[in-house]
Formats: sequence, C-alpha cells, structure tokens
Amino acid sequence: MAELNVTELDFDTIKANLRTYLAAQPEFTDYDFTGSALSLLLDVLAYNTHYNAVLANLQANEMFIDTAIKRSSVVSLAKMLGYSPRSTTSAKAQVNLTVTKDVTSGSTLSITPSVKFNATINNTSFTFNVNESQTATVDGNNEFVFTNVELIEGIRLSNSFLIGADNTSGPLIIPNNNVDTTTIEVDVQVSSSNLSSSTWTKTSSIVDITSTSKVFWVEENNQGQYQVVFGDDNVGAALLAGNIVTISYIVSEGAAANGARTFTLVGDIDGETGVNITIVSPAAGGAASESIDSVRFNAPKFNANRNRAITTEDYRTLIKQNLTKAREVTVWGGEENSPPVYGTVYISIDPISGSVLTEADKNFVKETVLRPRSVMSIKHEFVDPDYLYLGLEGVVNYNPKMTNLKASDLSVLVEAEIQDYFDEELGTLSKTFFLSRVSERVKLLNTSVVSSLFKMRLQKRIAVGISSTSGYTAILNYLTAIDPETVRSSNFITSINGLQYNGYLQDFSDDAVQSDTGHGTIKFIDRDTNTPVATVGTVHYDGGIIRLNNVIVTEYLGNVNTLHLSLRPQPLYQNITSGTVRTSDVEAFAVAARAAKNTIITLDDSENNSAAGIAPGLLISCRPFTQQ
Amino acid sequence: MAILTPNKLYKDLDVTFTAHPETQDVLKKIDNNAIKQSLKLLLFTNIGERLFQPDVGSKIYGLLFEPIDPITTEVLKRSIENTIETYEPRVLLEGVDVVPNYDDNSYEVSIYFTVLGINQPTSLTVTLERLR
Repeated sequence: MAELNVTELDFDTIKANLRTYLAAQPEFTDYDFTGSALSLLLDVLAYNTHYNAVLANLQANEMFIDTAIKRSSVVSLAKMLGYSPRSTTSAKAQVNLTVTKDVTSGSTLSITPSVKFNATINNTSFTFNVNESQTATVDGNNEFVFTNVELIEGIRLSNSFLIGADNTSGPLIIPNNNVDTTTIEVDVQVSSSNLSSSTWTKTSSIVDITSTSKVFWVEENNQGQYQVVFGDDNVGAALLAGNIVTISYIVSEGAAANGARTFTLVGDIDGETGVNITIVSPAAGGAASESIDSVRFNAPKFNANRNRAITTEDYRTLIKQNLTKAREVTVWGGEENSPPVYGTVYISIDPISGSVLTEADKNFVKETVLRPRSVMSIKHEFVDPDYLYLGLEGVVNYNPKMTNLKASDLSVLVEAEIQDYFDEELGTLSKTFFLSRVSERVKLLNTSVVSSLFKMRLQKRIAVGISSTSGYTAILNYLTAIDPETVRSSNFITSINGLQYNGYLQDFSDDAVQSDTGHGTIKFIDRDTNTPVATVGTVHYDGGIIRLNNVIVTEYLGNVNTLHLSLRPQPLYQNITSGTVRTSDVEAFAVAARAAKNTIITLDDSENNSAAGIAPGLLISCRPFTQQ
Repeated sequence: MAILTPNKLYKDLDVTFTAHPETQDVLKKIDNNAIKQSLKLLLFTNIGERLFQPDVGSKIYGLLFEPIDPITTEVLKRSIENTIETYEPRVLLEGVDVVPNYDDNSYEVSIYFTVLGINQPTSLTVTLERLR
C-alpha cells in the first residue's frame, strides 16, 4: 500500500519520495534521469515542498522560547513572561577630583552631568560623564574637593517627539542602538507654546500605578531598538496631543570601557582647568546587551520567582540580572552558619574586576534590587569572598621514548595545564576542586605521561595589621579535614610579654597518638631556639577549623604583607568544595554545619621565599620512567 | 537494412508543454527524442544553476565567452563529453565533433550516440552561439 511520508524537510529526501511515487505510475518512465524534463518538474515540486517545510519549521521554532533563534522572537516571548532583557550597560568608575580655584569668584563649585572626561584603552578613546551633580566648597588650600564622583561611560543624547492624537501612549522609538536603558530620562513639555514640563518616572510593573501616575515603561521592539511606552489613563497617565516628549539617554560602548583608570578632563569645569584626578575604583560593570541565550535562560526563572526574592535561586537570578559586575553569586541562610544567625540572608559576590565589591554596589543590591522584593524582617548581609590558595607539589613520570620533550619542557606544559584547570573550572564562587581532575588532565596532556602524583597545600593569607599590642583573632575555615602537624605559617616577628621573637606558627596534636579527628594547638615557634614560645590558637583537624587568638605581628619578613598560614589536607579529603556545607563524620567530634560558600578556590601563586619561609605554590618535577 | 521501430522504452514530457491537437494533453517525447531533449537540457544547464545539485550541467555557457580557438574548441568538446557521460547513463557516446566557425563566433556541435536498448545510431547537431 502506498505511503505518503510527510516528515522530511530536506530537498533530496522530498525528491526521492516523489520519485518513489512516480515509479508506481506507468505514464512516464524518465523520472530517474537528471536531464529529463520530468526530473526538472520533480525539482520544482521538491523546491516548493522544501520551502514550505522550512517555513513551517521556522515558524514553529520561533513560537517557543526554547527553540526560537531570532532575537525579536525570544524577546517577545520573554515579554510574555514579564521579563525585560538587560540593555547595554555603561561602565562606571569612581574618582576623587581636586579643582584648584583659579577663575571662580564664589566659594562653591558644582560638577554636573555635562562635565566630560576622556579615557583611553588600547588606543580607543572613551567618553565618561559625571553621573550625578555634586557641589563642593573651597577649602583652606584654595581647592574644591569632590570625593567618590561616579563617572559613567557613554555619550549623552536626547530625542524629542511631538505627540499626535493617535499615539498618546507611544511607543516612542529611540533611534539609537546600544542604549543603556537605566539612564533613560523622560521629560514631557505641555506644548510648543506652553514650556512648562514635568519629569516622568520609569517603572517596570503596574504595582501602585494609578490612572494619573506619570510613568513610562521601556521595551525592546522587534527591530532590537528600545521604545518608551506610556499609560492609557487606566494604568498610568497617557500623554496629550501636542505634548513634546524629550527622551535623554546614554549610548554606551559596553564592556569595551571596562578597566579605564586614567581620566583627563575634557574642556573645563565652570572655567577651571586645574583639575587633579585620583582613581578610587577603575571603570567596571560595562556589558553588552543581554544575549539571546541569556534571555532564554533567565526569562523562565524570572517568571518562576515572580519578581520576588525568596529562594536561593531567586536571589542569584535577581542579582546577576541587575548587577553586571557579578561574575558569580552565592547566597545562603544564616541558619547554616556556625553559630546560626536566624533571619539573615548572607550574600557573597565575586566581582568580575577586583576582589571585593564596592560599598556603593552592595548598597545598590541591598536597597534597590533585594529590599523591594524580599520577605519582610529578613536582613541582608554581604560577606566578601574569602580566598583559599591551593598549592600543588607534583611528580610526573613520563616515558622519554615517546616524546621529544625534555623534562623541563614537560614541567612547563604540566604547570600551564594545571593553571588552565584553575582558570576554566575554579577561580570563582561555588566551585569544587577535584585532585583526580588534575591527574586526568595531566595524563591526557601528552601520550608520554605515565603517571602523576600530587601533594596538596592549602593556604590562607591573613591581613593581620602591624601592631605591637593588639592581636588578631579569627576563625579560619579550610573547607576540609586537616592533616595533623602540617600547619605552618610564614615567618614574622611577634611580641610576647614585651619580648620580640622571630618565628612562625605551627600546630601540635594534643593526642599522644596522632588522631585525625582530634584537636590540636597552634603555637608560636622561635626560630632561634626552635622551641614553642606561646600558644596562640587551636586547630580542629576533622572540622578543618583553625582558631587564632591574639596573634601579634610586629613585622613581616621576606617582603610579604600578609600572614600565610598553610597546611595539608588529610589524604581522603582532597576534594575541596566551596559550594556545600560539611558536617563531621565522627559523632564524638561533631561540628555544627557551617557555611563556606563565600570561599573562592584559586591556584597558589607563591614563589619561593626563604626569608618568609614560603615554598612555591606550584612545583612540578618530571622524571623519565621506563619499564624494565 | 531494417529500420527498428521505437519501442517506448523512455517516455518523458515535452518541455515546450505544447498540447496535443486532439487529446489536449501535454505532448510526450519518446525514446530517441526523449534522450535528445535530455541532452539539450543537460548541456544548456549551467553548472551551479540547479539548487541543491551544484554539479549538474555543463561549462559551455562560460566557454562561449572565451576566445574562439583550438584550445577552447577542445575544452568545449571535453566538457560536452564529460557532461553526457556523467549525467546521461542511457547513452553510449560514440563521438563529439566541435567545429568552430570563426566568422560567426559560433560552434557547430555534432553528438553521435546510441541509445541503450534501442541500438540505433543517432546524432544531435546544435549550433552554439553566444547571445550577448
């Protein structure tokens, strides 16, 4: 019985189906020869079917957010989920300005958004503007000092629209690409003869919007441009015919301006040109508009959390959506802390540039992003990322008959491969280090590699202030069980009972027979006599916790400015994870669950420093090995 | 010598799509005529012209714009032979004569072949001349 196959999309299969059909007909026999007229007709039929099949397939694909390819389709589908894709975002920098009073007659000076600065990165010049006006009063040095001035990258532009009777709700299309929608401001002038105007407010929801609210919404249209939409006198006030709407905004270069740190004033500030600029934080946070993949990923999650901050994923999605500076975000409840802190949500953000987020950014996340969306009575606390430096000492055996590489060349390759592993799979929050992954990558690096063995070292770098009286007290979490009697610090000079000692910290197991699950003490060892001088802390081996109590540093040795406290993990605990909470395996030494989610595991880049007593972080030696 | 009658091995549409005067049906091409029509269609199809079949056709369109000389004549002959041998399996090609006409900037092409299953020597003669 003849079958009609309707599932094929490609030309060749469709034509083959048509040929199969004709094979059963006696009327024409030349359907199978390329040059025949019948073959030409089959081509035309197959082309036509192919067109229709592709069109139907494309239409079906574009109807669903998972399969849509065109940006306009994805954005439109995201709009139905209440999600507005992030626009291009301008980089922002903070500077201090000191303006020498020269021509100003008054005692105050103001900087406004019209003041511009130039910055150059890789021979490309970028314009930065003052983000918000500031006024300073002349000081005793005859200078105006402006502190923490926020500069925003981009070119300020504005467009005016005369409103007709048929578009009192818009949309008004902004005729520029790369608009940073967070900078859009709308002023509505009554008419060309009545110059009084009012500023309308941007909103993203209809909560608290009445029929007279002077608000506007910003949407991305199907051409990829942004459009401003007004109310209809039911939800939000509509415009009136004859109104003149002025939309001002910044057109940004996005991520290209990140990293700018040298700024020069363009023109003058009210005639003053003697301006000294010092950088507080370099330009960061610039980003391209949200990619199609990102919209596809974020829009359903945004819809799932209904614009509320309740679960961990809600927090992560909201913060990543609103703060382009965030590379990774971890969030956990205070009940996971040891001791628990109920009613507090802890947030740790790994910024793309620098190691710590600025206070202004933290405040933005706390007050603008989270506060309006989170549950009442919940507090938000930021915890800066804590770095755990992981060093590796390894021996790689290789078969010299299978490679032309010398041992030293192979060592360089192995070190680069390990560095790649850290760059690609670690280096931010919520990641796990697997020692076996290092071995796998090294094995696959070169066919000559026979085996590899590694010893790990975990290191914290503690910024203990230099003081001869006040000590440093802290609890350090190494995320894994500590091998007894492996703790050792870098060399420093301390003051104990008024006497100066040159030495280091070391742990001593309290048990006569060393126990992995036991406790120990941290003592200061005098290098001159090689004997303990004082007890300055405790160590919980199984819990991976070191408590330092009143450690005094009067001087660092070997040109370092932090106290390096290194140790080795127990052999069965060499996978280091920062994303989970670990409890003790042994009841007798049970420790409370503790959060370690603000830890970033990174490669120990220490170099050999004998004065400070610090061994290299990465030390690989390759040895030829041939089976006899 | 006995003349073989057509045995309706090959039946194709007439690409002129002319109606039969009595039945008003589209005319057919049978056997040798079907093959001749096929050869013309193949030779006059430029390579790359057919969608999804980029190799079908011959190079003669391009060659007509080359200088008319013995080299081009030979290349034209090879191109015709190659196209027929590749895309017309119903034909046993016996020879291709390409005679350049220097005065008219044209070629007289004669293709001698036997259609498989019919075994009657046949020839197709066409004049190739560029139109612009």
